[in-house]
Amino acid sequence: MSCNGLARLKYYQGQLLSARDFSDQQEYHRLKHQLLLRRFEYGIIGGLDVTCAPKDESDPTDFDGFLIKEGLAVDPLGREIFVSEAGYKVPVTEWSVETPYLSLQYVEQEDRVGTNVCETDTRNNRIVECVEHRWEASPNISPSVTVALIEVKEENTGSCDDFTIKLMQDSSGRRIRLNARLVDTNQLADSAVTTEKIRNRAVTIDKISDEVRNKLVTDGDNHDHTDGSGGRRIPEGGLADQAVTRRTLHPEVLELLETPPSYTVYAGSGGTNDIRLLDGMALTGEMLMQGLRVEFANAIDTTRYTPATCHVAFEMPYPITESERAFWEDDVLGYRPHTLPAGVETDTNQVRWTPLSDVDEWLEQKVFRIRRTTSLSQAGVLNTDIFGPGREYVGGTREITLGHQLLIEEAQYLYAKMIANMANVEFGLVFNLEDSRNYWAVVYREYTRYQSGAPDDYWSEQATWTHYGALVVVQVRNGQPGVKFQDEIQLDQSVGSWLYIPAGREVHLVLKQTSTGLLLRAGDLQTKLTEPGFREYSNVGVFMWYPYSNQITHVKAVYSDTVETLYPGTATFDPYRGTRLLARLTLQSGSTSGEDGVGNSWRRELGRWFWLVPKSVYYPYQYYGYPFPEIDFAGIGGELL
Amino acid sequence: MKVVWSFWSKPYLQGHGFGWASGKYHLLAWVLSVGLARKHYPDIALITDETGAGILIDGLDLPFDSVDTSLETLNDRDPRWWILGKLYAYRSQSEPFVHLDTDVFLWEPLPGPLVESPVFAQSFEYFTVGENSWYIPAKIESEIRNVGGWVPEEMEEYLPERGRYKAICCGLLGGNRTDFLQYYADLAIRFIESPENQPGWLRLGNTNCVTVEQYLLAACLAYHQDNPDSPFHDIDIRCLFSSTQEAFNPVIAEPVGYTHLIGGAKGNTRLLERLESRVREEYPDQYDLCMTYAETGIV
Repeated sequence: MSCNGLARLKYYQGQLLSARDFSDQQEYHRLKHQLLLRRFEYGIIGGLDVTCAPKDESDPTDFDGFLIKEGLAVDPLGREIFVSEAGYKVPVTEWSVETPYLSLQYVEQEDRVGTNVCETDTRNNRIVECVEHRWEASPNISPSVTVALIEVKEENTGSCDDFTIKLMQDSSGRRIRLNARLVDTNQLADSAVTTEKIRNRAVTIDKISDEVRNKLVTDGDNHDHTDGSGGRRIPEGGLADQAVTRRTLHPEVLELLETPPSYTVYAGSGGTNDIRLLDGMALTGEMLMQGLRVEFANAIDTTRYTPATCHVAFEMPYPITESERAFWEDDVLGYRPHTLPAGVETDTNQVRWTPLSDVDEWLEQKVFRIRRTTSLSQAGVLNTDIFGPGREYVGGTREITLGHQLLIEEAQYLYAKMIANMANVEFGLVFNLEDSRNYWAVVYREYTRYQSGAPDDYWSEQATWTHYGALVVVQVRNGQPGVKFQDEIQLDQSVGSWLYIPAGREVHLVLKQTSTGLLLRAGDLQTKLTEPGFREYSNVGVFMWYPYSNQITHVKAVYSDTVETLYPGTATFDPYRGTRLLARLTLQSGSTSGEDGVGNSWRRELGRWFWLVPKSVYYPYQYYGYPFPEIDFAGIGGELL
Repeated sequence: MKVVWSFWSKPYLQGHGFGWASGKYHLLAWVLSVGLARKHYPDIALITDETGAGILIDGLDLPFDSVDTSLETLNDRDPRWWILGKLYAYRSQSEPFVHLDTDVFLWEPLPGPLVESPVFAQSFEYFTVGENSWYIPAKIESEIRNVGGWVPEEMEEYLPERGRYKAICCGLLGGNRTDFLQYYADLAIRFIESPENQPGWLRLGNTNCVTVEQYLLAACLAYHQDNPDSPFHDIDIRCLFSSTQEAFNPVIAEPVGYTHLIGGAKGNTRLLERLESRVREEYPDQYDLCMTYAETGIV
């Protein structure tokens, strides 16, 4: 088991509750709320428009200021930034050309309300949620949310008339576009371009105009510093033409400028069998249970960014039930997410997402419509007076797969007698699992006949055995089994067949010998019985094992029924119309002392999505599951590519 | 000999039966499959629907000599029957042809003795009763009969040889006896589309394309070979590979110059990167078109 750190209070009568308990309860809801909000893009939700409000001459304390109006935003940590109806005014005198972005940040402060009975306790008893503004050199530096870019028209004299306020909104709801403009020469000052801002995607190589790209560092003397020597940091006042090239930039800055964010998502826990995933690939439940791994190529030390969060949401298409589809028709209108519980670990350059062990069971029971097989005795139709186990049977439950179905085969034995009556026969078949006293069972038996040696020497190395196979149809009436037909064929191998017999139906059975094999018809149903077959595959249907005596037969029986799932009425599982996974990884630096030393933090969100398909889904040419029949399966002549 | 591809867009756009890791690779495979075959065979044709033509002709500018949009008639069919596109293409051929799947790449021309055969295909496949196979003929027969449906006599009478059923993998399928191929395709189409069979298919989930295409082909050949009165009594089939094992053996498959990114190979990221690299280098114009089209999100 792995826990995520969230815990809520469990109350009981007479419990003593302390301040810590109440705080924990508050914290539980706050964290849950933040976790939810962090699943969405951060930025402005509504309002927070900015105007410049001149000083109210009747109020001596007032000033010309940028007025941030009522509104709500969510910061990258999932905290709400709320400005009340009164708005929030910021003096225009604070504006500077180096920090033109007006941003808001969530802060808390303590307060005290009322007092205790004795009026002796003066400790604070409230936490007030506030916002404070910041002036920043680039927009949306975590955890701030930028509300405006403010530029001076000509000169800042401390009046509203001096400024132009730009409010731009990108598709994710943030007020300021990160790529709103190119960095120009007159915007660069010392330390203007930092690794932090580059990682924030505030400054990328695309945002630097060609004209400027080779002038980022200068010594003001027009020397060529393309060999990386002799340059110094950008001086106050900007850049000189053609002075120094970008090669004099700090190597880490240059690398980040020129290398796009690069990462790879693997299914697996880090072993050699991990599968590299592309968007839209199909992932089986089995592969998912091994976990996902995100590996960075940009030498990003993930351990520096805490807490790393990785959510894998299992998304169920809507509509999906028959009633929903009857109303909405078949088009997928959207997806309902269910976040899968998991543990997240960070390593130096990778993040691992490992689902909790019960995710597998949940998916299987609640999502994948499966067909289970239970024993006839479990269905209430078998005589429990059993003999066995048989010679070749290994006891216990084992699972086998058949196409879409997950068959859970359980061993049960049926007491039955046989008669030898080789002929074409036709008789009524009643297979009614609700009536344990009257049914027919079609069984295949294979057995080994002892040919030589004393009876007490059956298992000696000297004993000689011959393998036989037989098809037997067993009728059970009034709880008494009897054998109507036996076709014994002397074979080196065995005979096997199966018939799909639905429960509770009356069908007629016909057994027919042909020149090349046996034909079995049950009413309109028909199946073929093989000649020498493969006993190891005899895993469907009802089987008989005949150990030695000609009197007693032990029959192993299976019965198949369908288990309904969370979404009853779902049509046969269709992986591509079915569930998908959306994996979203967030890395962020919670530190206020960012790498560039100017207080910037860093955040990155990555997303991948996959189709989720059930275990061992049926699909052609997938020998060991879909879509990964084996590691590096190359098909036919794939290496010619 | 005419080379034919088919593309019924409805199953593809709804995600049935193609298996590519993403739509981009499906488009790239079209470029390579058509580009390579065209080097060996001058007459290449596409059978598709209007949407398919929009993607492959208007979008990717693939150089087919003829484009037939008769698969437009399949608009009302269940897209889980993706095989219908191929079967309709087989049935419409009246001159010697070979149909190639999109994930088949002919680095070399097909061997002469093969293409001179009455019927030829990629490889024989064998499976046994009770095996966990993608072929489920017994289950199909049972379910269809259980609802009073109709099963082709060829399939009813088809029996295994020494415990093994034989099917025929149709990564490529063609021949000179187009009368037989038309008959077989029509039989398969009727088996799928017969109204009385629909309840049975519904119970089965309509996901048995491979059985209907590849198992029924083998059953059909065997049935008529055994029937002296059949007009197809003398028809035999040759395969590029004698078995699945032989086809999957690189020592055998690679000298033949034949690639089939069958099944899960379409999810092999290593091969997909090589596919992309090859198309980018050898078909740069169409590579750009693929990228442009893939970015639309339509495929």
